[in-house]
Amino acid sequence: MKRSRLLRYALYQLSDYFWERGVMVAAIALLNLASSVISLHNLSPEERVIVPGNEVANAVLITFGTIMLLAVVFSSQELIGRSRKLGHYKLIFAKPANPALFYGQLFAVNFLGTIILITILAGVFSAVATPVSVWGIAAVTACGFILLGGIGFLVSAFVNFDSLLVMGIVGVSLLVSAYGEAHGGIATTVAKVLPPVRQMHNMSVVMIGLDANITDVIWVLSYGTGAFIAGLVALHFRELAD
Amino acid sequence: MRAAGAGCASAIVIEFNNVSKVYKTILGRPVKAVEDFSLRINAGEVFGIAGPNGAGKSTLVAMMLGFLKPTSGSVTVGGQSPRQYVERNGIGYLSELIAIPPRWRAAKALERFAVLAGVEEPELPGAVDAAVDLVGIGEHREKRIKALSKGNLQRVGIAQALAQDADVFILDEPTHGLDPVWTQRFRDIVAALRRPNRAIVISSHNLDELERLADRVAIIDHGQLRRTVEMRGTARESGGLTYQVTVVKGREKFAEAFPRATSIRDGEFEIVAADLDSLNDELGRLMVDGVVFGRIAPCHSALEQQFREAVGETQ
Repeated sequence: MKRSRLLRYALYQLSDYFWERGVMVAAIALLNLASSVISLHNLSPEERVIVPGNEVANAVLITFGTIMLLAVVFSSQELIGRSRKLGHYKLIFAKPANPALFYGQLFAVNFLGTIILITILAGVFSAVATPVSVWGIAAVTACGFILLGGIGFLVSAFVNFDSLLVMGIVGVSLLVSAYGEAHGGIATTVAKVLPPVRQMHNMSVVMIGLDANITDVIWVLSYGTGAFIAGLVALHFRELAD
Repeated sequence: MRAAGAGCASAIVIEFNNVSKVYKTILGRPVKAVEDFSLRINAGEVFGIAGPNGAGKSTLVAMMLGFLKPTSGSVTVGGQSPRQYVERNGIGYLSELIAIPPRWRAAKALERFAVLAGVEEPELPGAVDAAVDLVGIGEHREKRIKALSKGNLQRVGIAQALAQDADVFILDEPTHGLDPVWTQRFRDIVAALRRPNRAIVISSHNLDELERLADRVAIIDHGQLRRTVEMRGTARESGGLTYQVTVVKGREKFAEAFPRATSIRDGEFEIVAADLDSLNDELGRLMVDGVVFGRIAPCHSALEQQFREAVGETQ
């Protein structure tokens, strides 16, 4: 009996992450951050301090909220679908490798790569612009990756073009949730079943040093983890080929 | 030269039992890719799969690797479900289209596949070098996959398939894109791969290739097994082989010796010979008798003849 050396293969997956996804995420993030840094440098050092509700805090929330969303979407989507679409899976899974373990590891590696990248970017921002909660930004990114990446992983186990579908699901979730908050009724119930994007949005205050609602955190992590595990189960039973 | 034990081992390695595979189109219309297909491939043999485009060859290969599951019936490899077998043992597989990410470099790609095949760290550099040498891509080892020619990419594909000491090899269109030198080299590689406990399956459009390499060839069409051909007895099974003969001198004597010969044009005949030995005997006797031949060539190979008959039955 042979076994693929999947843990050793994680090094290649990490390298793939940085070259195929990380470079693009970093480039977009740096463009975003550059404009924030320039704006903040027009303020005096005293004015640059983050106080919840002030302009600087809002700017940090918007900048890192956008970067986090882009990083998570670029880094977590089409993990399975791309390989299936391009046929790369064929040579890989003729080797003694288990698809669920392989893709599960790929998810974990991309998660790690995204956190490393975002932590570095937040660290640089903290050093050159204004001190931000680097660990808070990393934590929110981690929760975002687990939620959106988990849903993407499940969708990708079934269809090849999961990115658009996940973005659609996120959009519908936000709309239904906002409608439910405004009007109540069935929309409130439906919003509870849909991905907790609203709760994830609420968690972004952690990026400016505030505490998140623990119920929101648990719900976001449970939902994302549940979707990820469902994706692994689907990989075990579903045909690898289209 | 055939290795000892080739063709005489009887352990069944791959077995299809009444397998059917039905795909559904986007509109839900069922399309039968494979229908009531049964076949046994034994250890020790090189087994060919031949068929026209759309015959179901790719579906059969995908089922042997566990990429697809049969709609009904069963496929087993080494007595296990294909996926279970592959995840425990691995299969030396060469896909029809070599899909390797274009950014990877040739040697690094082979290293990755060797890691996936379970090659341990100390043996890894040696295994990669051996694979590179085996297929002669030393000068291209640092090139990106996207920069390789079709033939060199095919060689990388062959190298990754051979990077593991598997008991089952499945090679899909293995000589596609190879030049004549490497086509011959590939035949040598397959000959060296033969082992009593190993099954080698070659799916190919190239009947000449299968005729040279395979012990048996399954001819499939419209998802059904039309016939399995024992390559050692093809001429007898098909009732003889057809040759074109150009007679320069002594046409009358030739016509007497081959009364059923068909005249194609002036001095050119088509004859059917039961086997090569009897044909040589008869032609030798005529040459001693003063008949001069300009050219003798097979019209189509024994397998090709079988293929035409098998596929022709349905068309």
